[in-house]
Amino acid sequence: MAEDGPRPDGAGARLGGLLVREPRVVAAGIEVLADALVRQAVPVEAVDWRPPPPGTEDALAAVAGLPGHAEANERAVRRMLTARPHLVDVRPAADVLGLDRGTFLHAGPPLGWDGASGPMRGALVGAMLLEGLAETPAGAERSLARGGATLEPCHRHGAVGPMAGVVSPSMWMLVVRDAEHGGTAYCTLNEGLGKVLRYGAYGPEVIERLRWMGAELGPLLADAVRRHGPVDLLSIMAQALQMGDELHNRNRAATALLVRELAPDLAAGDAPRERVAAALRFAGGNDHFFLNAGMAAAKAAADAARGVPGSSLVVAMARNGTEFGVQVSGTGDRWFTGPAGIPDGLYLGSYGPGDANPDIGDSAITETAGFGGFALAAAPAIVRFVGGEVPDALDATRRMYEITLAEHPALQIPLLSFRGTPAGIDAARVVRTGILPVIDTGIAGRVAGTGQVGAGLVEPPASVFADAVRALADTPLTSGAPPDGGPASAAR
Amino acid sequence: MVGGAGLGFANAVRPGPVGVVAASGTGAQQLMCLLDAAGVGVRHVLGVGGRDLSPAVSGRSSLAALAALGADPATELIVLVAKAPAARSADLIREAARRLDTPVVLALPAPGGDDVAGGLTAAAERVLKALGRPVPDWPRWPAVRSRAPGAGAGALRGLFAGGTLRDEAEAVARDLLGWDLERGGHRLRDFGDDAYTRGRPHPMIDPTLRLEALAREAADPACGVLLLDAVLGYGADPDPAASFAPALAAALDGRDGLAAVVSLCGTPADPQDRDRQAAAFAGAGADVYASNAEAARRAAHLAAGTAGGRAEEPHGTRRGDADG
Repeated sequence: MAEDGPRPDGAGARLGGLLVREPRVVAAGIEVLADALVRQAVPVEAVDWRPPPPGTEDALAAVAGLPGHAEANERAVRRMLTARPHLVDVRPAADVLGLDRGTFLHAGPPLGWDGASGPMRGALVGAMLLEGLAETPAGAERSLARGGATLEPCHRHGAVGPMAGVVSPSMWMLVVRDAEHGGTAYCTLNEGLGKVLRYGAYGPEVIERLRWMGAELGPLLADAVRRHGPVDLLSIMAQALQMGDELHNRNRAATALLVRELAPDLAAGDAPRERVAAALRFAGGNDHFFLNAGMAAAKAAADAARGVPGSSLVVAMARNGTEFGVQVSGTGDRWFTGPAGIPDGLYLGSYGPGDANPDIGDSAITETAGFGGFALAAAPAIVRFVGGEVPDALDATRRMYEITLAEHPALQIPLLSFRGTPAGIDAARVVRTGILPVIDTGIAGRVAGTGQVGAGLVEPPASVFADAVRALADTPLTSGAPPDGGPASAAR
Repeated sequence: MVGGAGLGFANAVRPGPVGVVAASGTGAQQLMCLLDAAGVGVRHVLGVGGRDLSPAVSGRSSLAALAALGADPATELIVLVAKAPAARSADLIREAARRLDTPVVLALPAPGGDDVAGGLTAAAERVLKALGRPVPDWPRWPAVRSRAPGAGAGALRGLFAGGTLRDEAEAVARDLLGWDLERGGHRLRDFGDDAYTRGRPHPMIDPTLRLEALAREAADPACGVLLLDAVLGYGADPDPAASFAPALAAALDGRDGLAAVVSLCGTPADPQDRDRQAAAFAGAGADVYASNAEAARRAAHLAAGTAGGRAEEPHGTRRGDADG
């Protein structure tokens, strides 16, 4: 409450001049009081406000009161937004991740065979067949059920995988290096749509395609990328947003740009032209070919923001088909998990919601880094996934500014007058506002072997953000970060 | 209310020279409505929260509000209305009030103080005297239906939306019915208390709980008088009589010995139209009073069996009915 200054009439500054000026009113909460002001012809600005969810008040207050909390968030999100991810190589997982025979990576928070959903089991069966660890699907299931394979989350290895996200040693990985902060992130090569391993399909055509990708596509791409030199992924992504992609459910423009970038270097190699043509036909014919590169770019950026003490910035959102998990910069590698939801979207052919598996995949790393669902306003071509009209996509993006810490300096949305995308989810703001991140996603069939049944939108369980905020409130500020305050996860 | 604009629960009163500091919402509304009925307008009502005069807060907002109103050239007189304040807070307020150039009327029901006498109605009358204005008969609207002789004798049951109105009614009832109201089966409840409003709207907006309680009390053979407040104004139930008048009529029809009194806190300019509300309540068989203290006095007399068949005429002055 302002004390008045030495004014002759002594009135002006009392209560900030409240009693002497025309009242200007901001109203929050139920509409009845704002309506009453409108009735009195008093101008009123209504604010959509609600109290924090019961049980979160203390943790929110504790986090807001952490010394340097705002600065920690600022530093973390600055690291995320200044990352400069480049595609620098393509190499087998056995080499770059040191994956041993019999070890598989999977999407989302840690998971065992017993808790795995249909598509996750299907993808693991396929990986067993691909690696020659089983002769038949039934044999693969028996072996996996006996604990015949080691399962670890992609995120633990600096990697991300779409949908089931299963990585086996012979799969070739995109290697993405952050030229600013020095981190490296990895993602597999995208198989295309339909009956594919990441959606839980493991039929002969799936395994045959993966074999070809390992034997042909991977080495050809590796050769082309090395000849080309580091490919600036952020530049491609920035252009693609202006060409109608949101870089999660629509990657058509980015795929075209990447293929255009690499085609001369593919052609310049020694490989016979029919093999080069097959590789180009495959990459150019798959509208999601860029998705995995974009995910690795997002992973590199998000990892740069890890390990800032006191920061409530979300650095990973990931689902394993059973659980949805988040990780927060100030709480290290700890996962906060809740049940994965069923996506809401469009279904292929005769499939319907009853065929859908709960949410799955590491691809929510795109939303974590400020695109995907957060950039829906850039992709009017896919607004049907939001259930309707272009304004719905604009609303979805605008809503995300409420829970993010910054606007992306490079990723801009033409329809919003080139405003930067909402980037850097603050777990505390998610809890405080009750606004959940909008996540674009594919929908896998719940029965192993089915493949994709649709695509749409999904929301995380609200509890995971509340749990993260509570944990951050209890985390001593001295833990977790190296002396320079940089990423604690550089060692992965 | 700031500069005549009602933020939150507030009545549509004429503009004028009085400023109110309110640690009690319905207390302030009763005061501004009575002043309006007496032709005196209010410019600012600064709500400071019901806990401001507690020992922990010790009147910080009240002191700031007093200073602000004291510095406002258009405010000629300040009224401070509060529920029972802590002794130290009351002392701080009295000291601050003494130092202001603007006269201050304190309506603090402090134990041992004389500020409590007569409650809000008396405070309104002190304001009028301080401004040199006559004290009118407070508006009242006697029940238009005849009542059986002796109706109302029995227990007094008060169902209030306003906490301060309940407290004032209790003080009045104790004067007439004895200190230990429980012993006589008398009971006055505040449905605006936190215990009733958790997870649901305030009773000034949502009548559900009070309507249920009204039906229960009416069915209790020990109950002689129902005493209700109806608080009008911006933000409040757009038509309280629409739900309570039929409920009262049904209760009175159901039992000959039952009587009803309504304390109607509002102004003719309120969105609900005080006089239309009053007519509906009176038509349902309730005696209706603009002064909460008078309503409580009437209800207590009915309960004690010391009232006539028609609403009493306090102070022996003219009947001031629906011309207010």
